[in-house]
Amino acid sequence: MSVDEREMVTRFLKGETEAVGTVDGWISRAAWPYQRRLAERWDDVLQDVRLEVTRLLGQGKFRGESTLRTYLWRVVSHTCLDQIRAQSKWKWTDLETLEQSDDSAVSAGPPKALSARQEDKDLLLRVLDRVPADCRDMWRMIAAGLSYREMSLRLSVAEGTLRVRVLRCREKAVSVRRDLLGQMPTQERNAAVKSSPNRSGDANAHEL
Amino acid sequence: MNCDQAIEFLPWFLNDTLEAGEREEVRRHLETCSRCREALAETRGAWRIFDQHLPAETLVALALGETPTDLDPGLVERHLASCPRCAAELEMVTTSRRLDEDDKIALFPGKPRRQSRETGTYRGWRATALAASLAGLVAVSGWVHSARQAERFEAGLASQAQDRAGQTEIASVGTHPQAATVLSVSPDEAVERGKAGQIADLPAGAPESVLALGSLRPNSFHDYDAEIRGDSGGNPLFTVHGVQRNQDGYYTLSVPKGSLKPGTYTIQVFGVEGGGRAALETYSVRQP
Repeated sequence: MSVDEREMVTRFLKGETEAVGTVDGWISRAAWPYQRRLAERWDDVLQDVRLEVTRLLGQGKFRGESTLRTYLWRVVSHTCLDQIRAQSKWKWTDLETLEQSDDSAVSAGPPKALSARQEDKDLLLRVLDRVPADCRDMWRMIAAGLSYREMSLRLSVAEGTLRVRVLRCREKAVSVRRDLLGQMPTQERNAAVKSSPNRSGDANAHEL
Repeated sequence: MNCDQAIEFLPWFLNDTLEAGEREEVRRHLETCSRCREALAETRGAWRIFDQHLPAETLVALALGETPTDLDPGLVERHLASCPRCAAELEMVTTSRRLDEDDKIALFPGKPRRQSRETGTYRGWRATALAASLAGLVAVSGWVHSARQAERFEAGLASQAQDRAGQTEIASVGTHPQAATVLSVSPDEAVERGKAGQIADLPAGAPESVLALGSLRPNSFHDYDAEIRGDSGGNPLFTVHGVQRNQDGYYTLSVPKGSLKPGTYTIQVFGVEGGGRAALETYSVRQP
């Protein structure tokens, strides 16, 4: 880390106006492209970024492996992307009562929410890579919140036919996943369900 | 409802778009059928597969020009080619990187996206959506490279907004646009097969043209974007986010004077939902 950057961090942490203004300017600039997508939450997200930057710099996480500005850009990028993704994440809280009433589905493995977090991203991306493109498109529409009637209109397919196609795609994806898991040696298979990296600010940028 | 029917409905049970009666039937069936509850768990598993996206660290690495080390580069490339959401996110990260590296690119305040469907009150033309978006686009495209140019551009937009105030009043009085600068355009799909497409001419000499792009489709997206391309195709000249759609089924776009050179242009409207978007209508316009 250069002397200038070390000094800048010190001055920023002391709250010196000029240093805070410079860092804030970098943050605002790096975060600008995400503004539209984060809409009403924008001010809160910007505040989250500032708090995260203060926390990381305060803990001495910045070690000078890149410039301070690039380091801050990484923090901004990870925070904004995480916030954008969190917005579109589905939460199925109303299904808890159904799942609680079904011991067999739960006892087959760890709790679903936990296994979801632990699924290896690489494996799931490879599964996705192997399913037909039309399956990906149809399920993307479902994840985007389209009803089967809207999808039927958009794809010019009868509603019943559409529902069966989606079901076949689901079966295909599950079967590809099973095949890929079957091909993996035991060690890798275990690794595929180990904890995925924590995607909070600390773990995202390798240096953070 | 039997098991086969219930299982077919599960994806839409999960995305909460079944009608109340259907949803209740599926729920009642699930409460009494362990086989279908297993199918529900499997459907959620499939959802996780289909909703996979590249990790944020991969996008950040790509924007930095680094090769991602955690995933097969071929897999990353194929995923980006087939996933509009990841492609859009990579575009944002790359733009952010570019802004971070080049302080000469001026920034304008952006306009947040609308968060909900239209609530029913027709408030007249809100052409400023384009102005704000256009400003943002110009900035990221690197067309405006100095703060002075940016100030001039913003001043121009501000004066257009003032001029527009009167038109907004006129247009909002009735159900249909009254102002002389408003141009109604039919989608290309409405042109009968085998006939040459109709190209709408933008009004010559108007300080600004407001395009009312008619749509025959139901309003089924939360948000809309539009891309304007030249007649030779290629990359979009403008990308407009948060395009307004009113209750009469018109998307409205404002074209400030001087923003288009004489020529023919294609406007492609996209429905935006979650992280993805779907191509909807296209329109042809000509700037004399």
